[in-house]
Amino acid sequence: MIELRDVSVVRDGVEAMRVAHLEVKSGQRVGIRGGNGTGKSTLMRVLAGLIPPTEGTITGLPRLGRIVLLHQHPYLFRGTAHDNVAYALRVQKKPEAGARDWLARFGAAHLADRPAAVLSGGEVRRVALARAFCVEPDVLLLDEPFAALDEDGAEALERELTAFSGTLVIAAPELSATEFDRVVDLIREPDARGRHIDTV
Amino acid sequence: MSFLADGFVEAWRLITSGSPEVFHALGVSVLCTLLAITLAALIAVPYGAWLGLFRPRTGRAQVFALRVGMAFPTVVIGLLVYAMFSRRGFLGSFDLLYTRAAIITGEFVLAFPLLGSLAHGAAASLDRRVTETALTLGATRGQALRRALGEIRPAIAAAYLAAFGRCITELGIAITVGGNLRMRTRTLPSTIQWELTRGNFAAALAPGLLLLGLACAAAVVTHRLSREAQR
Repeated sequence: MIELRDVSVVRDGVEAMRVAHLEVKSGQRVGIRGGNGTGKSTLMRVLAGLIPPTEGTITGLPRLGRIVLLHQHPYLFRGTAHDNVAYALRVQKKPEAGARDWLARFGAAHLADRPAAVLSGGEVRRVALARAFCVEPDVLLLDEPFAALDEDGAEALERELTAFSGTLVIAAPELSATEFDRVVDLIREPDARGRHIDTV
Repeated sequence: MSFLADGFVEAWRLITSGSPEVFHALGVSVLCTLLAITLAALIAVPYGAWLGLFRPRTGRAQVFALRVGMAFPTVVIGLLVYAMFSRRGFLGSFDLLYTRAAIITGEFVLAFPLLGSLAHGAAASLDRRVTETALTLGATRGQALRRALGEIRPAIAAAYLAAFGRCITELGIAITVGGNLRMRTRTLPSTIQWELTRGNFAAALAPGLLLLGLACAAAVVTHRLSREAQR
């Protein structure tokens, strides 16, 4: 179980995110809902162990590589779509031959040999999703994963999310509470510079 | 006017006839420069990139030291290397003063801060998602550093060529620790200096034209790589 207590992140003197208490139990599906600038992406990066909190404690974080974050705007490395997925498999010491299959699962098999630099926003997301899922992590953190996906892409993602058995955290401005075990709202306190988290 | 024209004609003749002295100096210059900057790049580029990507606690001081190193006068670098390799220096027993190895050492010292600083700049301005993505996919810090180096490859190549341009035209180090020995440690810049002191304008111009060609080629490639890096 991942647990955050009194966690805040301060950047250049401004509080980017504050969470009084958050628990993510093993195998749970947690939605993090919040408008623009409420600190969703910062919280996801804290949960991924990529940035340390300025204050507070975090316990139960799996090591990097077992907890995978898909950024709100995913970054594809230089090279082809295939190279990107193969890289993830390589660092996980898995056979790179599986890269095309993972791309196919997100309807991106035809993009395999295209340079990442020429892909559209939706295509980048499909490749980045294939790259994140191929790791088969214990915890998957997806920051606005449906953004820029067309109907086919969204269906493929829904299918993979249903099949995923690990812990899942999805951050987005709008989330349906019925699809998650828990949905927490990140809200901006109107009279304070900081934000706090509240459970719905 | 005829002095200049005659000089060019004679210089061109020296080049096209394959003057052994000029082409030996070209060989020494290119060999020493390539070895020095390649050795420097092997250490300075990962080091500079590491400073830019992972921002260690003493990173600012180290970047400052690299920048001071970039501004170091080359004659002073030559003096320091001279002090190292002179008989009373701590590496004097190796008897390397006035050899190509001494020139390579001096140019290594010259190129290191330049390569380190440029690699740091490129890495520091790299999108933080590169290392974050690599780390979150399970890469070690070393693997993430290698990935980041791959992303800034054009900038690294441009830094390499900038170091080439700086070292190939270097005179202070070549004379101070190379000794300007004919057919041994004489480089293109030191040939120019030597021939000019003897009043041989055409003989000075021939290596000058070769040097100009090399520097222009390095500048063109650097420019192209810089444009690619900006894409």
